[in-house]
Amino acid sequence: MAVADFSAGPFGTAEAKRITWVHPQGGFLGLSLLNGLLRILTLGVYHFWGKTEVRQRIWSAVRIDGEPLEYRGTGWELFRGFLIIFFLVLLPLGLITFLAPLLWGSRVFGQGAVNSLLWLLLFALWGLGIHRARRYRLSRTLWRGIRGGLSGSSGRFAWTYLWTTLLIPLTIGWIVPWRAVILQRALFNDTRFGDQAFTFQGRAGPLYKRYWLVWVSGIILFAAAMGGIGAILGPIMPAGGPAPGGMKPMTWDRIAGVVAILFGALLIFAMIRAWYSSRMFNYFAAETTYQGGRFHLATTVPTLVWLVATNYLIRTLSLTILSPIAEARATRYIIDRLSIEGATDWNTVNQNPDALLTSGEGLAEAFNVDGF
Amino acid sequence: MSTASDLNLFPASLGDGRTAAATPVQVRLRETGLEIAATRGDRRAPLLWPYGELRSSVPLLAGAPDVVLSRNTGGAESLYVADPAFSRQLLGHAKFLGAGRQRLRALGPGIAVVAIVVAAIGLARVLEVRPAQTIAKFLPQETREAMGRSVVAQLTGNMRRCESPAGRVALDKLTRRLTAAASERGLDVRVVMVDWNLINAFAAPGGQIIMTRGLIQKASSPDEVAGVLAHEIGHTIELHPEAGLVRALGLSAAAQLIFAGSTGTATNIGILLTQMRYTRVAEREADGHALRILKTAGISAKGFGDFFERLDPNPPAPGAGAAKKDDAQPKKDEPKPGINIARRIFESEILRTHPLTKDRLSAVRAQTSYPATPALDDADWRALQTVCGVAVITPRPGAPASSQQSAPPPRAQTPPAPAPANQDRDIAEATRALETNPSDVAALQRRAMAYNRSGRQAEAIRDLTKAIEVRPSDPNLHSARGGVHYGARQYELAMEAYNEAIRLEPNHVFARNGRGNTQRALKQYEPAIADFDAAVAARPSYVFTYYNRALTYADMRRDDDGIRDLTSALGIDKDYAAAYIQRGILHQRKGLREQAASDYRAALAAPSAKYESGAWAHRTARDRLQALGIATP
Repeated sequence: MAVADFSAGPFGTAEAKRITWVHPQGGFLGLSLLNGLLRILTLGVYHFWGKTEVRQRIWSAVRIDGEPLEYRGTGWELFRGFLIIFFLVLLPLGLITFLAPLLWGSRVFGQGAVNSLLWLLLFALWGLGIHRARRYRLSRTLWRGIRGGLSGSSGRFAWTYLWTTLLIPLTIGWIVPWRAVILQRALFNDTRFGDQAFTFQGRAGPLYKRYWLVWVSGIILFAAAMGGIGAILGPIMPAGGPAPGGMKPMTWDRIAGVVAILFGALLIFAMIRAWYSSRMFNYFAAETTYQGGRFHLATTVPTLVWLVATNYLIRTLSLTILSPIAEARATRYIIDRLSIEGATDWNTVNQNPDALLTSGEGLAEAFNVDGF
Repeated sequence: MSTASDLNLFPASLGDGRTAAATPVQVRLRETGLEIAATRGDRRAPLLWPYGELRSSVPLLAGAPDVVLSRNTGGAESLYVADPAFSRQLLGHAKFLGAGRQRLRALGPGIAVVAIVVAAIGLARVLEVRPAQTIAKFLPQETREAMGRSVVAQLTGNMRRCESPAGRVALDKLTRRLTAAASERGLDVRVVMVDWNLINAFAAPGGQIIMTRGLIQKASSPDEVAGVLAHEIGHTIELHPEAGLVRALGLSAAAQLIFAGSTGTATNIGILLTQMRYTRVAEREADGHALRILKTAGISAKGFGDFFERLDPNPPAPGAGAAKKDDAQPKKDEPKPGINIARRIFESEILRTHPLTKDRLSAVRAQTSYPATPALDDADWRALQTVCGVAVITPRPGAPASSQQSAPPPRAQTPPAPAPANQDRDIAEATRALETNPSDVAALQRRAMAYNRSGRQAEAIRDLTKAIEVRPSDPNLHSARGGVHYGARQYELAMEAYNEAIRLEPNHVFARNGRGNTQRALKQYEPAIADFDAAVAARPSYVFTYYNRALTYADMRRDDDGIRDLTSALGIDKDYAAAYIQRGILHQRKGLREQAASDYRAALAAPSAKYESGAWAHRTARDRLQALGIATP
């Protein structure tokens, strides 16, 4: 009893594609718990193999035309990548930040200068990590034996990532949608399946229609929250003499009040942000094509909020042991709502020519950059 | 053409790996491998994929609804079969594709790492290698000193260093005496005195040691300071601070490796716990050094033990052995059992960076005695006490170290005379008088009081005993002797003396006050109240009785009665600063912050020189106002 539908006609005919999710037989709960246990028993080493199996399972649940994706990464690759990054990047950085002030004091290492340099380095490495991780994952993704890939230079992407990040505080966050478009374009125009690339034609304009509200409300909420907290805590001690009333002492009510204000402000902002994010995801999908076929994503704000909130709870309450469940849910959410219109002539898609990256996404692993 | 039944034949889809198009095919499970044949109409020879070369996209579970297969020998073809029966049969032929087998293989590296780590730890234990300490030994001295200076700067921040010349000299004298005793080659130790309330001392890398004003103030003799300093020198000798830094680095790196995927709440707590465990061992080693150094330097270890006893908020009752009196009777407002358990866990060894003082105390008390001289002579000790530039009030050794009321015990028997007295001068003058008349009771009494104020209680007792021999029926002398014993925490002896005084004169106000205080120290509260009542009845204008009785009421948690007594005391003398403080404390305990604050301000307004407790009252007022978040002049 076959599950998939093969074409009734002669093979090679262009046909409608469907992107579907078929939930794997074992689910993800058992696997998560098993991985967590084995991870502890092996002092964390099994983590990379466990993660690989999780990815295999998630990938195989995603169906294009009824046939599943295949993930061919290995635990060894991830482990090696992590070790490389740990010993070449993390450990030296850690030693420098920890020991330098002790050994040379504040003469040589004006804390401000060194800190800023380190942050810049961190951002650059982050961007590099995103690109490399994506490339690794795409090159280990196959469908019908054809590989995905990410061409283009990681260095160039890291540079773009870095300078656009610096613009965020300089523009008080106004630059965010424009930056998102730039980065999305850089990633997707280089993303390949086989030897054919995706195309992304999105622009920032349509995003700003919603983003301006996010930006304004963010500022208003911030000011309101600061004002509210200030009112609760009382006046700050003036630098000169004592104020007549003095600062009110901290009581539990006051602390609860501050927490409530912060929580409330963050919650409201998160809602508004979700309204924007939903629009952004859908827009990005609609501006992406493959072989002439246009994608279509139908996220909605309530379902997106629900997904993010519940995933957050799942991750934190389980101390990240149940992260695979969250990952699978997020992927399923997208896949269920994703479709592609138009036709794809699979005959015109040849095998991907890029050489294989040999070690896995060590950088991202170390910095916990994990997309869906 | 085969005789196999059609149950063995499955429709499938084969990708050739050159394009993304796929060919419908039929798969048959043979004995040695999969036979893949094109559907009817195609004449090409069937492919054979040996089972051993197969690779599955997912570790196979029995009855998986579909499977994607490829060959691990490099071919790019990909076979998709959507039939649970196929997966089941495939697993029968190629067990290694199953999930269980795959996971076992995946476990290999992890188990290998664990085995290596366990072997390494075991080897380290057997060879008695202590990696952190070994690495620390390799650090050159300049590096260690540089690290130490940074650590000192970070720990002390903007706090003032205490550098009064005489105090500095005294401190250096003490340091030299101890380092000479610590090692023949001499140690490079620099002691930094910091104007900080905290009662503690820290050893930083490179032989730097921080001591605080709070510590000097808490100590009641130079021997106690010597004990703490010797302990810190012990840390320095063992390179504990350097090893601690190395260990912190190493643990943090190791935790990163282990918890690569998940982030850190568990990591941080784990590191903290292990760090604390290391310092526990280190503290014991430092204690060992301290006792050795003290012995070699000829300084009594009793001061070391006394200091710990004062730090422990629940000291074992004098002479009561191991059982604490507190455990016997439940307190009136005993917290719920859950909190008790939590507190007990918190107080237990594992979570404290220093071993329980009871353990250390018994280790120290177990020392046999040896000939000893005071760590510093009187002049140097006084200089050290004032190294931070402020006159330091030495609390009487009998002060209960409760956090609520760190009050000096009420000096019930001393008339409220301002006494920036020069004890040495009084002693000298009285000694001269006694040279002419050895039985001059007044001179003996004066000299005894001067000895007492200098902390030389044994000599005070000697003088008073002599005076009592001359005049056995003088209740003042007995009362005075009771006071000295009380100050030396010799409560049984104090009771004896006071009992005698009261027997001689039942309404002796000083003796009643003194015995009341002694009974309060012995936690016999009702008899104490009775004595104070008698004293009030005998002399209603004696302000200290109300103060002492108020403290007793406070111990019995009868706050309202305590406040009432303190108000009475202030009614008699509105300049009694300490009474304001105690009343403020009680107000605070009842949650009446505004009243407490006004009490503290009133204490500041009262002159500090009128009573001996004045300076303490002013200091406490400032501290408490600051804790309440109120600015002080």
